[in-house]
Amino acid sequence: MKMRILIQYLAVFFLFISSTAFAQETAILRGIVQGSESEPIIGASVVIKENNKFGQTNSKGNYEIPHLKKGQAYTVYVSYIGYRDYQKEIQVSDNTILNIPLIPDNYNLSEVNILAKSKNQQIKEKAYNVSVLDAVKLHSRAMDIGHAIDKTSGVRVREDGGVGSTMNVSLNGYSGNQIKFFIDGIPMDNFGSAFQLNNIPINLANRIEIYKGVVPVGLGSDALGGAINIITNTYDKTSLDMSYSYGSFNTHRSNVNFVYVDEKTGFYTQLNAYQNYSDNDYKVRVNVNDIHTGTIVGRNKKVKRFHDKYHNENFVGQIGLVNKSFADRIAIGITLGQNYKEIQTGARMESVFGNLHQRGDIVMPTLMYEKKNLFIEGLDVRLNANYNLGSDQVIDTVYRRYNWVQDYIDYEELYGKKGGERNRTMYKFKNNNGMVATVINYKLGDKHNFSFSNTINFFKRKGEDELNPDDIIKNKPSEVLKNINGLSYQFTPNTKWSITAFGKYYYQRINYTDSYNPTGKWGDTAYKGYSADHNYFGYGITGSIFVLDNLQIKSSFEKSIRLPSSVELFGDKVNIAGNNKLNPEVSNNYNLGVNYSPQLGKNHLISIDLNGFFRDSEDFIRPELSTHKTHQTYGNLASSQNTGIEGEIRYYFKNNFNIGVNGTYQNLINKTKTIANLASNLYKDRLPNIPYLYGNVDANYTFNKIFKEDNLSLGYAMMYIKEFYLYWPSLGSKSDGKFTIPDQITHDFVATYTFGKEQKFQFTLECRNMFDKVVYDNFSLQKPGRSFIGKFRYFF
Amino acid sequence: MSRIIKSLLVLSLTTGFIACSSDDNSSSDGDNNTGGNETENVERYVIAASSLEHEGVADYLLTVEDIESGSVNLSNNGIEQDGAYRYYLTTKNKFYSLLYGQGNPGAVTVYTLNNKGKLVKGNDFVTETVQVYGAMNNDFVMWKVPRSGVEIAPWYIVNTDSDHIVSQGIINTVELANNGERAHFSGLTQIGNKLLAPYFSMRGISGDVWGTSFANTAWVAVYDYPSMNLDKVITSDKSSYIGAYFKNGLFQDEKGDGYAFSSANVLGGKGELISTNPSGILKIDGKTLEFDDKYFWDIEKATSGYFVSGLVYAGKGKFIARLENDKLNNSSNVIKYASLDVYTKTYKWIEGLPETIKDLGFSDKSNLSLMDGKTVYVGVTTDQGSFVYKMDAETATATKGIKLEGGTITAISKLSSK
Repeated sequence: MKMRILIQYLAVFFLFISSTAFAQETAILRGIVQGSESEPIIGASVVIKENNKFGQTNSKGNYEIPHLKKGQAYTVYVSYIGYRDYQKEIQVSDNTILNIPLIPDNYNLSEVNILAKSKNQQIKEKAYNVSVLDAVKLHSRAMDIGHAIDKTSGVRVREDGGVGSTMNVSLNGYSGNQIKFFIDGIPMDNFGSAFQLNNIPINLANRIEIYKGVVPVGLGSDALGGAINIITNTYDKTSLDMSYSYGSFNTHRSNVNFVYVDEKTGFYTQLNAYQNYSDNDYKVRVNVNDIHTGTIVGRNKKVKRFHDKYHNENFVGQIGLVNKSFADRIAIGITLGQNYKEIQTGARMESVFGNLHQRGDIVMPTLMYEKKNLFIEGLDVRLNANYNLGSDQVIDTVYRRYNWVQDYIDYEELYGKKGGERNRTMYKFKNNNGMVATVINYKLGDKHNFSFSNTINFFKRKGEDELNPDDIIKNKPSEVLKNINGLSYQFTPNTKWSITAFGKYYYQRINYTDSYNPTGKWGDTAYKGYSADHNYFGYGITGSIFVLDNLQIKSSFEKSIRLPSSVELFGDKVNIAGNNKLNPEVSNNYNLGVNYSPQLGKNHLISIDLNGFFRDSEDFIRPELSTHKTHQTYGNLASSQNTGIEGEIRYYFKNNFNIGVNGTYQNLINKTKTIANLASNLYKDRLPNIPYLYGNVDANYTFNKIFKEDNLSLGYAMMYIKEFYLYWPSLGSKSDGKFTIPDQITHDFVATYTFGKEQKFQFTLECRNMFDKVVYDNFSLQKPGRSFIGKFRYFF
Repeated sequence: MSRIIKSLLVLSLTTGFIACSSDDNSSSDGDNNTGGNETENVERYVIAASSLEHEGVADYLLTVEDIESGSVNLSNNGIEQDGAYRYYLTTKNKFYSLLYGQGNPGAVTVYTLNNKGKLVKGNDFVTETVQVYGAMNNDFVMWKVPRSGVEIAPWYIVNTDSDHIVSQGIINTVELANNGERAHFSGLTQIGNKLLAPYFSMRGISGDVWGTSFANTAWVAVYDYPSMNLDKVITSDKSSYIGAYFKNGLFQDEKGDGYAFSSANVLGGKGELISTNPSGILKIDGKTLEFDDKYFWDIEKATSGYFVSGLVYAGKGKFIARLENDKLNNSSNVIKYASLDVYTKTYKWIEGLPETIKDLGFSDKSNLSLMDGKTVYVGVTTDQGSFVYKMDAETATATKGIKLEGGTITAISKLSSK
């Protein structure tokens, strides 16, 4: 493995040498690319058509293309979003200066063009298997980030119920902590419940990058099967965005985002506040039991959920400076938030609760610094840091048993004793986690790009239970330190192809304290400290090539790693016994993708994305029974293999209409041949409880200028998930009723009316699950039926 | 435009093809075993088994006509049982499948056997997750016993005719233990018309939940039934506590006396052995419901170092016992089976079992005894897989019965259609 890395470095080195060695006998073309008001155009590619050599403009609009032959004629070509294409033939002498004026193209600034050349597209053109979700387009909608990414091919977001319910994102078959989440490149690992996918409104995001399988080094974490990076809005002008929505089940959501930028001093401030509230009292179909006898008295009854209220209130504030000589952006900020969540059921609808609830809060100071061309041209530095002082708490203090029609037995009244619905507790834990993520990027000329990233993440969970203040174990924290370094080199010889090689180094240290009774006497306690250090390497390579101007092929590989958690290594000493010999989960991820976007005449564009993937994963950490039978423990027990294909086709007509279909099929199978030396029945069986065929269809039509400076947009979306088994498909008799999560099809409709020129007003009306289908992602836990939502938004 | 239509067509065809090609090789062994005409009584063995992985899903219920030979496979066979862990109780010719749901209430599924030899679902009902359960008269009793925190243990009596809770109440585990620690029942057994519940003493404090200062006593709480008033607590200091967590250790013989085993393998905080008495068999007099002070069978002494880790009553004073020789449960621990005669205090090692018996932990949830003084069907897991062994308590022999392919036997039971 080390040998291979060495070879990679050598290759990089020689490429470097050879590109500088022939510099003498040639000419250089340089100049500045400017818009109509002499503003520099940043990041534009100036391309020599004959040989595909190119230069990219820097922050001042300057570009440079070396190694051109003296006296030869070349065609210079520039294409940039919002401007007309530029093309000119020139004769290159010693040091030719060509200043390129770009003419704004208001006429052609259609959605078709924006889509073809937007920032989102630039990310897509990287060789990674990445879906980029343009969040701005969804700002009119009343949804959180979790629901937004659910529409992406390859992604399934599974949830337990309505607003604020637990979400589990699965990406090409991986889920849970095999997938990592980031916000502006910062890992969200230990943010707690108050700031999560299920409560962050889509309006907070500018775009969302969904990396499937191979993850770039800039995102420093131990992601086994991919990563999701939420890029928040960046602000360089004063703006305001306010919205409020009201919907079924007494659901209120509001969001205010105000940005003030003083262009003279560079001072800016951002104030963002948002809130979600829902009673979630939608109707579900259940069996109602008599609370005293347990007998089912009503089968398949439609009842209202009565203990499922959720609300959260968050505030994100930032002050800083933009466009200064020492920083493009420097800011300090704070994220404050709290949430309250009632728990209606356990893992099955038979477990009904009427008082059990959770609370969480977040207090997180943040710091960010960003500077392009620091000290020297081409050296970009970005640093993000935060510290989360938030906490989460479970409150179970009412000793009652409820049924679905809200009858209850009050055991405290009956027996005069205290208890809880599940386990009497007020256990509260503080996460105390901090993170520093640094990315240094160095662009050497236009062809070579080096990236280094470092993420330090420390985590110290402290818990206490005021009902049980002497609880020793819970008060003893476990500490986790993770340090992940990544180095990548990208070689882009011309606009046709590019290749990137990278390596990642993972370091993890866990300190864990365990208490025991040294003497056998009542209440005697001694502590034993354990620690574990892990070092691992991961690496990968990605490449992409434009076969035609509008046909790109990309492929990528990564050996990715997920480090064992402290519970897996050390247990919780109550139900789980630790196993400190655990290895990390390892996966070899391969991707091959094609993107084809033919423009059929002036008004039609088709974009086709097709990705095939193969995942070969080993050493899955899975629970087993300890030898003493009383505990569960973890082992590197399982391996699996996933072969799949996902794709999206979208058709655009002018900027009025688009329709898209995406779908994912994956064959995720068990590759564990033996269990305790016995041949497993389940070898090559499809992994249960994971959707394997699913997709979305959506269509949108926009009517422009109905009156004046307004538009009406109508949208339709359908979601489909094929039925899948809750448990292993091959086990048990199908005719005797295996448990399944049945086929699900829902239809959503949305209409948005926008008017105003400088200041815009937007009204949106949505109907979700129009035909009121019973839907559930997790076995028996039903989600809301038909619901209506109205949203009003004002922004400039 | 035609290209778009074509590509859409191709896509929809592909999707359709993928959707159709998903395997559907459903077949059922259940119907093959149709036996007899409508009036005939049909009997079937019910084997609950988990897959080797035991991942996520609890068990599958398999019905077999012949338990003494052949094999049965979990693939495409058996009735799926929801949840991670289940436990089973067969009484009054009904098979109850109860969810162990970590404090959450859950549904209990009831099965009976129809005259075609198939398990038929009866009326399910909702109850609590419990640790202790057992049959009493025409009922069964369930007990939810906390290990820490709350001190009270609620009990529920379920009538087996109506399949619903007919009575419930609580006991205080700290008051019952009356030694500063708390009582945790290991099981419950009907002796005469009383409910006898052996328990162990545990601290239930965080960091030392299972710890105890009382490693050399056996306790049995005697309850009046169905009033569930505590009559008395009887104790013995010949061995240690009776049974184990989730493992009943008390049995009633045909004369009405109780026999119980104690493993005497109580460990301290550092994993050291703190019970000093030997493992053995204790007797409770059926008339006085007191420990018989004159009776104790020191199994460790008799077998030169083996302790009892499980018992199945075969009838006529004979037991099939699982014996082990390392109380610290190191990897060198040897598991053996023996036939014990508690009347004559004689034992015989069971012949015919394979050398290496693995204990995967759930094979002793329930075993089937015909109560004829001889025949006990035990689930045994070895290097070769999981088998039902027919053990003869009289001749001390074991014969290999049905093999369970791809899984581990967790319970064996028998039902008849009438």
